Amino acid sequence: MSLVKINVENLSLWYGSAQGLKDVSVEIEEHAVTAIIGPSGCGKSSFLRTLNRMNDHVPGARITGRVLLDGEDIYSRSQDPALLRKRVGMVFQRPNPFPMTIYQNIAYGPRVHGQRSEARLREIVEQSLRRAALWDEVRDKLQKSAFELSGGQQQRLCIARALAVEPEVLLMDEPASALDPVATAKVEELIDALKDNYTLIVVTHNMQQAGRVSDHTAFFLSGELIEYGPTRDIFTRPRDRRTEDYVTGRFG
Amino acid sequence: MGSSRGLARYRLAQALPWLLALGVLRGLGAPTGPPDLGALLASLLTATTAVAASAALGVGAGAALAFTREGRRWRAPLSMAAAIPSVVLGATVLRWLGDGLGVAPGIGLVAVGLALLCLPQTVLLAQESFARRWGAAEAALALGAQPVQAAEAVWGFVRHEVTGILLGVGGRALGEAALVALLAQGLLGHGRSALQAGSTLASALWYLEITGRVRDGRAFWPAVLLFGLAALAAAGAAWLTRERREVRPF
Repeated sequence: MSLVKINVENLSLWYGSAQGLKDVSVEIEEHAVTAIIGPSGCGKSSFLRTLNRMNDHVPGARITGRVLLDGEDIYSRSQDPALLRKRVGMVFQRPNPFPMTIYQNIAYGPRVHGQRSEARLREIVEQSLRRAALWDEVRDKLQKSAFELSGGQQQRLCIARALAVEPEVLLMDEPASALDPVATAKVEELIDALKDNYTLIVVTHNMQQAGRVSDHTAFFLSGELIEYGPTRDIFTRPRDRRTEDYVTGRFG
Repeated sequence: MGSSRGLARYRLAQALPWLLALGVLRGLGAPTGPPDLGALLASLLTATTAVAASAALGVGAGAALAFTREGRRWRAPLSMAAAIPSVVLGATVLRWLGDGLGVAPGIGLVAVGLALLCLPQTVLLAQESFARRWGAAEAALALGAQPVQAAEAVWGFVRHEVTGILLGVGGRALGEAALVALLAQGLLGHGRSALQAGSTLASALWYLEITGRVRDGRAFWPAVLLFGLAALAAAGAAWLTRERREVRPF
């Protein structure tokens, strides 16, 4: 029986007076890949960023409703956003390595969380790069700048960096949209491999990608969650006409 | 980085005319007190101290403000603070420290005034510089880093920009220091050593207030000459830097 990792209850989000999300309720399954699809500006990324409180850094952003991670409200006063983000990692649309070596990029997160042992850091770096399927490509150049890697490698480096803090959930905001088809295929393979150990939520504009990598799909439109269900059902038997119009390419 | 160098050159170009004016005034034999290099030395020393102090506080504060929600709210107050005329701040600092703490005016005290003068601008420029690297900083925050730790992560990007910023702020500090050194030493004639020459106009006024020793009407014509030269120098600087100013990053 599948467990619910994240439970979103009546979540609304405002940026000043503009409403970004409208009364969204959804249950995200553990150890599964959930795709978030929808046209530009529909609230996909905003929704993703409410799940690790990255919207805290957006001026004027405020929410109502609740987001429960393993039953615990992540917006409660007792919740430390930094510790929350250790549990809920994030990978962004564009690769954004730090201006450091490959090794330092991966070691950054564990160091921030207090890991000082170099021996342990070396283990973490290797393990994270292996999980991100990058170890064989960079094992001999760990002390080189991260900017010497290709775009696809940089994105997998960013995934490895996120994995290095051992998150339970990994949020990916269009992780392959800035990559070529070969690099995209590698990232998709990686997503598939990671779901055994992590709960993944992937925002994507690419519906074929959503169909390939996800177990569940949520369709957003104008800040509303229109439909959520198994990916196969969303793409073959959508209940809502708007979902059908979107997945068949009538708009978007 | 190139644009930061441009900003630094622009600021230094703003400062140099004041130093030039100082030299010309001395060359004309204006009643400016001892014709030594005291004012120049004091200007450099004061500006360096002020920039070091404002950099230590300003870059850190700018970094923290760049990555916090409250940061943007501080932009308007900081911009207003950056526009406070130096003489007002100088007078306030000297009055407060001089009277309240019994500290005599000198380079250290002037540097505190100048550091406060430069601080809002340093914070604003550092904030801008760090915010440009928001993507990488956001990645650091998403790993659970605190805002200052996120600033550390992107420091490699911004260190060159910050160097340019500090040179730019230093240019302003140098310009202010040169001007006030000239005014203090030249118009009011107090200060017989390199260190004392760093006193600001405000400190000179403070000196006048406690001693009652006014240096009579000789101050008028040097002042007119000074501001005439300054106006010419400023016009020349504006003309010389007209293209660079168009590509200023901030």
